Amino acid sequence: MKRTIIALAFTAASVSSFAEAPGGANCGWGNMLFQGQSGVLYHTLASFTNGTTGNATFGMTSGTNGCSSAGTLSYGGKGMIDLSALMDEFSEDVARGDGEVISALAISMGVEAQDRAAFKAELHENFDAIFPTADVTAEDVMASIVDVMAQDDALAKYVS
Amino acid sequence: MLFFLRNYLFVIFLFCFSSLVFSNDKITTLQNLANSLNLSQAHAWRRLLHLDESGKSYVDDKNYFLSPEGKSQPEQELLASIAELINNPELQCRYPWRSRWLSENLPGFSDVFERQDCEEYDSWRGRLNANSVTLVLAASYLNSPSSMYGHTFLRFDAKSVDDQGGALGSYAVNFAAFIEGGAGFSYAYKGLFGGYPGYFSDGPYYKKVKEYSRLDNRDVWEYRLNLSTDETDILLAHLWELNKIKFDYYFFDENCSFRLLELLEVARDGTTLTEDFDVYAIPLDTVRATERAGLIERVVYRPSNRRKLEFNIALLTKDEQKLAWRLALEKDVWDSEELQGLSEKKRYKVAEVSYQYLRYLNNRRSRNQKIANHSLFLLRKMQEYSEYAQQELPSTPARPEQGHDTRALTFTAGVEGAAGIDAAEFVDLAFRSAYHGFLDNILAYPHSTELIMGGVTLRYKKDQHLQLQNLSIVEIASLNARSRFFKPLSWRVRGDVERQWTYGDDELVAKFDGGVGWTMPVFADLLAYALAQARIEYNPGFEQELDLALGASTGLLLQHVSGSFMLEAQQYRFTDGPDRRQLQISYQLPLAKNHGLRVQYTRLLNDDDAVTESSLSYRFYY
Repeated sequence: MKRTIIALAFTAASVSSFAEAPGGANCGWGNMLFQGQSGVLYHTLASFTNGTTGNATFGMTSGTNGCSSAGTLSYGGKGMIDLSALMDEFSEDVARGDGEVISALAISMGVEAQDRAAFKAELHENFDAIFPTADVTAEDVMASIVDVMAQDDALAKYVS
Repeated sequence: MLFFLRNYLFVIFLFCFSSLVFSNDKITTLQNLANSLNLSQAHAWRRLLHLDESGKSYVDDKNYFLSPEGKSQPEQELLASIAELINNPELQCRYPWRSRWLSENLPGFSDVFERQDCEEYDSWRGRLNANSVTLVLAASYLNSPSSMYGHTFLRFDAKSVDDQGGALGSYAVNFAAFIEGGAGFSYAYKGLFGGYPGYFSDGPYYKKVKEYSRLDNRDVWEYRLNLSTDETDILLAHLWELNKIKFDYYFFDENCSFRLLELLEVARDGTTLTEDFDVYAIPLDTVRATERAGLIERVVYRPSNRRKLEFNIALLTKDEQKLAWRLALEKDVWDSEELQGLSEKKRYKVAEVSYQYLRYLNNRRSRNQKIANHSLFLLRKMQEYSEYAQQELPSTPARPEQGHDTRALTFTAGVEGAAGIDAAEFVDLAFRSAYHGFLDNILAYPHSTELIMGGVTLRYKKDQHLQLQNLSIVEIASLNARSRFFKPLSWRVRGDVERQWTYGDDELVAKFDGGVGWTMPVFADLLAYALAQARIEYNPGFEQELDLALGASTGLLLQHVSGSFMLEAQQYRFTDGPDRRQLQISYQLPLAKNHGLRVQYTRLLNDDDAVTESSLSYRFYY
């Protein structure tokens, strides 16, 4: 399963590169921790029109809408939170042991309500394993989370 | 062989012809029935076509219509829809709501057309997995012209969001102008005054949250609507019909908020929401219209990252704040005696504030290895002391729609006295189309900012005729206080036509002025500010009619729900005209949400000519 996720992650990253270079202003997946936002031009343009520079459609199939449709990865048929867009907040939640983003990730990975406290606690205790350096990418983080979950009796079922 | 083929073609031809005849008959019958039922006048049909009051569609895209006259002739569009949906059943997948509406309202229609499997539509619906709809308001943002009045969009939540949360994983649908390549001044112009095509688009909600809560630091309000499952289904079925369909985008009226109201009118048949917004649609007012229509079920407040940071800072003492600030810049501060002397709980809080502040500072900067390492260091400290973590959030302030209405009428009585002229009593009648000034009732409005557009004041002086006193085009100001953590610049721009006492006459002058400076907190809510200013004025009373001036202003501002006070001294030196100094003191007492009483005193000195004006006004917001 871990391999599947990573494969999906890379597929998404390569699909998104059709429309936009990985790590571009709107393209999240693959970013390092604390990536920052360097889309000055984008923000300047958008500021006058509430505008969008991407494809203004309902992104249907991956590939047609570049990064905005690759923003979620398929996980058991459900959309999954793209961590790279919220790494600042997510890493903070893991350090604290609670927060909206870590809860949202649990939900998007299908972790049942009764296991969510364990999910948060496991991630929190393994902070150093999940964020060993400031150079981890979202894929690294996701892979470590899966590892951590696999080691836990209550959480292993969600990643096997 | 040839014979066989010919026969074969003949059979095909016959078959097609007969089915065509059959359908045409049936179609004509259905069209006649639709006419006799007057279906094209149905509210739902007119909403579906996005007709304005004159009966013309707001949709600016011929791909939306099935009849060439569809934009202006709802009857023709209805007849064409009946024929096209029957003849080309695959069109159902492009027009799910139109198809459903006809099936439900035109007897016999559903018997004729063949129901299709709509793979793309179904997979989109599956992805949105919508059970409820939330109207999201991103609060006013002065630094971006298109967002000065706020921005609205829709969010679609799965059923689980209600009981378990996780709205970050929901989908948002946004109406926005679409920009194609390049850059330049025309972008600003077109964005404000039209010229860009507007489209609906969808995307994950967490990206919106990142944009508003983190990058723009705007508070977000989530208004959960009480649309039923069926109404939600209609909304999405119609939204799908608008995929890749162009509307002209206009900043003032046909904007994001207006389009959303139209969608809600489609979703709940019989609701009228758009009729008050034929000139301009302020997002806040569209939320009010939604509330008046009884569509809002509950409200959730999502404070911005900056708001959360400010809240956390306020939980620390002055000394602890200083430590947190230093720690954000310098790792070694962690090992300092002062910091290690704090309780473990406080050490956690200092690390948290420090981390949030460091991220705040680097929000819009590209990645920096040193900052990244430092951020991780602070996170590790948070993790180390996390047993003392207590995630406290700012309490929910007054909701934006609880503030005063955005238009104002003001009735003023006062007395004006100039040197060498008898004091004259006057009355003013003033209208202002939007939105909020420093002295207006502050409840539910952002502090320290002012945004005024489109005002006119008429004055009648005793024993004289009625005169134009002021024609205000735009007035924007931001006087946000500086602190250890935040260092905003204060600024103001104003453009208007106003009366100015000039050598004994009150001349009507056109002027534009602006300034930049600093604001500092004095005590509690009291702020002091100073701005360097420049002014260009066209004044018929000047020898050199178009003149430039440099100057400065300084003042005090106190905004409180129980009353707001402002004192300002201002000086301008023209290159050719007079040296102009002005002192103004004003106070507004809120009487109720939409009522206020204001007193104001102004003393003006043009070189040595003094003019004073005192007035009392009653202000009514509506």
